[in-house]
Amino acid sequence: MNQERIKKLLLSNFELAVTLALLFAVTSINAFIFNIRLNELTWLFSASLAAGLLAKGRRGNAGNFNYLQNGDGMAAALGIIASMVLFPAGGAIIAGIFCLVSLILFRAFLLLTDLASFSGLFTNFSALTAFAYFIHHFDLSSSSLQMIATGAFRPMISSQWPAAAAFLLIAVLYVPAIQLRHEIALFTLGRDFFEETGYRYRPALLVLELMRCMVTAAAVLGSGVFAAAGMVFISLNRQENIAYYATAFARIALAVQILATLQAVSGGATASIAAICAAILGRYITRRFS
Amino acid sequence: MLQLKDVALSHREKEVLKSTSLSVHGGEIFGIIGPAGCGKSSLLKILSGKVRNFKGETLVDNRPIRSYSRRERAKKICSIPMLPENMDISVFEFILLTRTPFKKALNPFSDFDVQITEESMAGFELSPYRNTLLGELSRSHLKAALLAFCFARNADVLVLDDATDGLDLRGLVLLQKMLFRYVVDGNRTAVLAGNDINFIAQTADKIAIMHEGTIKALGGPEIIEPEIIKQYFGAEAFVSKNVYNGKPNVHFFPEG
Repeated sequence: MNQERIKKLLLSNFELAVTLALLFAVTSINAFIFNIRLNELTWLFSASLAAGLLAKGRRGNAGNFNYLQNGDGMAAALGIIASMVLFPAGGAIIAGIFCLVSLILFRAFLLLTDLASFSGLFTNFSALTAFAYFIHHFDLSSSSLQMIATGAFRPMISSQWPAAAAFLLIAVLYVPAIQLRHEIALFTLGRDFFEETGYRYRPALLVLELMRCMVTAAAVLGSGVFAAAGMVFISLNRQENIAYYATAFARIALAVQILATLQAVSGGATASIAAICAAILGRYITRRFS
Repeated sequence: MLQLKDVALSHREKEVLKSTSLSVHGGEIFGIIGPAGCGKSSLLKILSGKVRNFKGETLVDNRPIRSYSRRERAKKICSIPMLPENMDISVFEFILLTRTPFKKALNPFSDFDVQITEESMAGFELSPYRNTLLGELSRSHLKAALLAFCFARNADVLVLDDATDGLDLRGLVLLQKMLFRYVVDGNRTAVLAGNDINFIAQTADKIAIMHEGTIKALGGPEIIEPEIIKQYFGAEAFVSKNVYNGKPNVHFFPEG
């Protein structure tokens, strides 16, 4: 093994340590302040770890971890929030299924709005609606504060099985994400490069979207108020190019945190509309300036 | 060896490439020149297998290009892609990714993949930028990285559209050197198309001049003459001979 590879490996381990430290901090502070039970704690940490490790699989492709930019994460969050509103006793499975469906619908919606050049108008309308809803339903109580801090779905989790599911998620997503890192990196170069090297773009896009969706769901369930600490890592990443996956996780968690906050203080409908709004707006900005 | 037999292509009911036939042999650099919109890029897309809905037949090593699987084609032919969407990737990692068709899924790259990537990088003098992100490169170095991506594939056929666009003088010299080494030493084939007539004239063994979707002249670089330039490019020009190799050099007269 040459020096360059050893250096790369060491860097990779350092980044992993940074991520684990971040996740541990988020989890334990939440646990101490909000008296989380052991099974909840396991779930919280596992889901966070799954998100972080999947991001590690895309290390080196900093600009294309597109949870925020292309709106997938927002769409998934929208699906989960909507499912929680509609099926409060349903559990994570319903949320997961719903988020997949909503993602597909969201893709179709983007296609239609692009064709009709309608996205700008829709974004503005959604923003106004969300703002009106927020003003009308503003409510900041202690219970809503707890929800903001520990993630929107903590009240739903009362047994061990979500933790087991989270570990399964890690196993399912982490291994292929790491092993397929070169193919994923190739995918991020764009359709032209991906097809030039002999791959089919559309099936790969579908698989990646599904993986993103699952990870976003994990991040939603595991997020807490200290995800905002990720803002520090975003600036570090720009300067030193370190711990990208930590920042990626933090960005996801931060986005979800904003949605959870909106939901807590102004209701699920506001959060849902805000998710759509942010997703469309994010897409619009990326297309304009990238 | 590349062969086009009565190949034609239409786009939105407009015939962008009329019935065209040509052969490019191993160890040959084939240049295509012509004014914008003459069908150069369409021809190259057919040659590289990116367009499949064409009429006629394209053969690579006497086998129809349509019969190649995607992966087989990627191993056999490499064309220069557009700019990558993700520029936050190091030069080395970017060029290494061109070797993906040669590795099995879930497996790492081989030592040979790494070696050929290093060689291709060195060929374009990109080794000092090994760990630099693509987004931080100058335009000329970025173009060199794209070219190194193509050369590192080590495919039998290299299809380069607008290969010189953005390259500085040193880049042009290196590209020419790499092409000669690649094609002659490896007995492989390269097809160049672009607007840099002088580079193509100095580099190609055989040249096709295209106009309005068809090949108007075909032969050695000596076919580039003032009358041809006037007729197909609409420019008054003087053609001299390079004192080093006797190949044509085109000098344009200013108008007005």
